[in-house]
Amino acid sequence: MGSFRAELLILRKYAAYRVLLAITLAVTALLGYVLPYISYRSSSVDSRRATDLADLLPGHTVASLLSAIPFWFGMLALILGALMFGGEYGWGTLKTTLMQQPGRSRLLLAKLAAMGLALALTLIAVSVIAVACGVPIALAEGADKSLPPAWDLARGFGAGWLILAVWAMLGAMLAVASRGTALAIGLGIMYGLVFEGLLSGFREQISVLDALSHAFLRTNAYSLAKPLGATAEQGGGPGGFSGPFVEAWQALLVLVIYLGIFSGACAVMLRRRDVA
Amino acid sequence: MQEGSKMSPIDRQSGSDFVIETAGLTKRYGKRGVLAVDDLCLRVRRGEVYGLVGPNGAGKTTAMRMLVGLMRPTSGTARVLGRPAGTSGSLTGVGAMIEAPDFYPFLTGRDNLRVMAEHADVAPERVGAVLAQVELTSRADDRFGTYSMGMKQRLGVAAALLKDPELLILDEPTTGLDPAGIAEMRVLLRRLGQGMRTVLLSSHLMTEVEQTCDRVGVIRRGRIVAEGTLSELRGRAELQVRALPLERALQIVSALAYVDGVRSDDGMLVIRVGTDRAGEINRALVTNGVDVTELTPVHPSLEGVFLRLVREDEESDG
Repeated sequence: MGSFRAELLILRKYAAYRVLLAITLAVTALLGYVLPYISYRSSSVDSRRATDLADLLPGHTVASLLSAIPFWFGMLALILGALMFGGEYGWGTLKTTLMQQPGRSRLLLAKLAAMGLALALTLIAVSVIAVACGVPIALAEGADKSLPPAWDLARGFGAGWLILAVWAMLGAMLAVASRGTALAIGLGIMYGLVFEGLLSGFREQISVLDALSHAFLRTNAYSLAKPLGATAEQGGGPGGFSGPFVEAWQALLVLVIYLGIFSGACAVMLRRRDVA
Repeated sequence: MQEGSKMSPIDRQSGSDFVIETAGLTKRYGKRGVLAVDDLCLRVRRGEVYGLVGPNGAGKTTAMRMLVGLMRPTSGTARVLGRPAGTSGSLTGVGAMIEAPDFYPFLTGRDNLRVMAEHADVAPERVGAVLAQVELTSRADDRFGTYSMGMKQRLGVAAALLKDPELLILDEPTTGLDPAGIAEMRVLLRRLGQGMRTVLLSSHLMTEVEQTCDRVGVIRRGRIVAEGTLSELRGRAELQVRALPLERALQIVSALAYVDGVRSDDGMLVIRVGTDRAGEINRALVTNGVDVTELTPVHPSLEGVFLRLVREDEESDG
């Protein structure tokens, strides 16, 4: 518990985490609610679609957030993971900490637990912001302001946390591998944006790529979120995703395997390598 | 052997007089890379302040990293406080500062120590105590990033003291300090080395070692090339004599049976003889018509000894 408390203290005072949290909340409010609602109100009454408004109501919170989590919030989670683990190399504090006797496994577990808690708190904060934005819209439009059922909230929270945890662990693993932050963030974003994105573009022409794309992080993240009402951004933009989709149970299994692989790789590298 | 309450149960069981024992400790970077530590045999006794001196790149830091488990040896063994080096059991009684003191720049000095105390399972009350011990209380609530080099070094020592360790390992603790900071650190080191605590200190500054250490190991190319107390390493004092004519003085002194050796150096005679013989030497020269204008006992500096040892080691390497 001591090392876990130490990691929480670091995280609490780490400005970068607060900046990431602020960005996530601002993106949620601005891109998820404020701009879509302004757009909805700006269009003529005849061209307004009921679904556009429904997406902004509190009852749609889980689906709205899960639409952003597989990629956009995933990228922010990747940055958090890279900062939490890579920072220790950049500041040289891994050496200072290990000399205090916690042991490498204990340190890793403490960091993972602190990161998991940070992701959970982020999800709660984002949900609160989403509801805080959705309720006034519902009141202004005289629409239903009830929240989603508790079971949907719990499933959404679980799915969202798992997706964020996988991205964050990818960032952490890259940070430990590269013993730093900058390269890890660069590689992680390149992987998410370029590798998965570009290869997916050729999957209809090349069968091997089609099979490969079923194992992609985004494929499985969107597939896990889809049954809860999430929709992927269409088109060729950086966050665009048009499939393939796999069964939800398969997506869950693949994401858990990814989490295990990334954590295991982190553990092996931390335990085996010298600390200079 | 000194006994005391600071001995851990493990050491009482092992009954070892040495808190650090290495045998054939070797570290090679990469399969065919640099041999940083080569068959190092180091033994540090309980309660002493041991200085590991050597030029830059001699292997001091690498050896210390292996002692605290930051690096694994390529071969050989190291035991610290009776347990394999770097294991949780051995680190319980070890406080260390290896190379520059590194902490979280956005945390205050106090918060940095709180983090380290949590990792070490040390009561938070120790934080205030060690801050006072290194005289950093007044700046404890400032961010580490704003500290001067001297304050950073003192915070590093404070972190090493959190566990009230039996063994303190400090790597070049005065590096980067100004003369005032070096003097302050020396006073602190002397204070820390009092009583039952064992201190292993590395440095390439001979004056620092001369003023702080009980015993010294000279390391070069990863090996100990000489070891002993300061007086053992320095050897006997010599007599420096300025006399005229010098050639005649050299003949007279060379003929004296109790003189171990004499050489002419920079217009003076340097005589290897006990300093209690100064009067006899003076008398022998004067009665034989030599004018003695200066006669001074000279204690070889550790720096001189160190340079001689390194030179001899280089010559023996061919």
